[in-house]
Amino acid sequence: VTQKKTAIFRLKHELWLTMTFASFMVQESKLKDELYEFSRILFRHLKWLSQSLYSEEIEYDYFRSELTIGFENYHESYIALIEQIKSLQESYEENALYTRMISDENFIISALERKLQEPNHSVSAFDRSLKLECKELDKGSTDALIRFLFEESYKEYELILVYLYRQTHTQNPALQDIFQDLIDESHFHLKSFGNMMAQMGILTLPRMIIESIYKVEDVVKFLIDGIAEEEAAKVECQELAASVKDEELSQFFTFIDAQESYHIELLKEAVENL
Amino acid sequence: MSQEQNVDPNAINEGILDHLMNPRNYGKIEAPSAVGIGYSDATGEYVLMYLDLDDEQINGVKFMAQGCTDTVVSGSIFTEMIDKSDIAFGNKSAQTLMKNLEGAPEEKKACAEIVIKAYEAAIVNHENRKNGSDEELHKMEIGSQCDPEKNSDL
Repeated sequence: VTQKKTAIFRLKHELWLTMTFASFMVQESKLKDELYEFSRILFRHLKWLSQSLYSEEIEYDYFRSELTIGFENYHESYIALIEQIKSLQESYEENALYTRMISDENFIISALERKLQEPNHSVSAFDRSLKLECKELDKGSTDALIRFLFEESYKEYELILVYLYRQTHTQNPALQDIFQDLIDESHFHLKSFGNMMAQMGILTLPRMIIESIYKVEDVVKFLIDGIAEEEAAKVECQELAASVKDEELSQFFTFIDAQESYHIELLKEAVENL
Repeated sequence: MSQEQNVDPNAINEGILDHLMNPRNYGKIEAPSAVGIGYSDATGEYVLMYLDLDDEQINGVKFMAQGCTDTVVSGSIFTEMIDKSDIAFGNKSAQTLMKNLEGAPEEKKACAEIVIKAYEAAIVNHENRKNGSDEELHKMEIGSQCDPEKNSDL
């Protein structure tokens, strides 16, 4: 039973990730928003599952099987998502939490099935065009941006899951609240970076997280290290904002830099609350 | 100035982009024959390397990294080189990789070195296990200094 529950958690994690990146992959904004909303529903499921496993004192992890998203067209991604959901549902047993999730998932399946009746589109999110819409970037700026996007998309994915793990493993409401803010902010950053990667044709799933990153013994050290990482991210954003010769992009990185300052304050508050 | 000196160490070519988008052998081997960790105490970065060995034969290799993109690319390139080979070839490949990085910026060398150290540590772990040790994994620290903040030309 324990193995089955942790397996469900892993499958839900994979499903959330695939749905999130499918939303980055598509180009039409209405469709993008819809798939992204589905991914947020699935993330809430992941949160409930974390809480349920923690309350039952069952160890869980963020292990992933081989997961790919190199879809050639939209229909291919819908079919894969429907199969992923159905495969997950085969593992569910009778209980209130699973019933609630099945209801949400069945709604998502019917929405995806309806989309299969709509015209299909080919995917450009993996074509390595290295071009951003309406932007002229030189080779140096493009390479710097590519490095930044790979580093930071992984980092935001990592932060979402690490903060979720820490949020689940604390009984302190103030800390839970702080972690929720940090999770929400990282979702926004991941979305921004993922959409830019898709535009440049370099959309890639973030790599799997090492267990010791979230199963930490010393939470204070974990938070202090987090502050140092946010400070380093600020420097990267400032340098990128100065280096890209495009006003809109430069403003975007200045905005992300300012948000990192807010994250630092939240992390300091979390240390004080321990 | 020679052509070599003009090569930008932070430039991204097609090969590097391919390893970034599809890192080879990333992940974990269940019940590995040997596990090694290469790490930098200064930055907290580390690489885990898992080997599936049949005596001297490398039947499988996987790695996981807590580090920058250059470390992931180095791990992807190195594990692709040594997968399905043998320890002698692995050792030679490790030397070749480090030799190829002579003259590269220190932080670039450190990213590759952390991968090589993880491999060397896994080989030590393999030897220790063969000699009856119950050592779960072996750790080795790198000599170079990896500063992930200097790894881009932002």
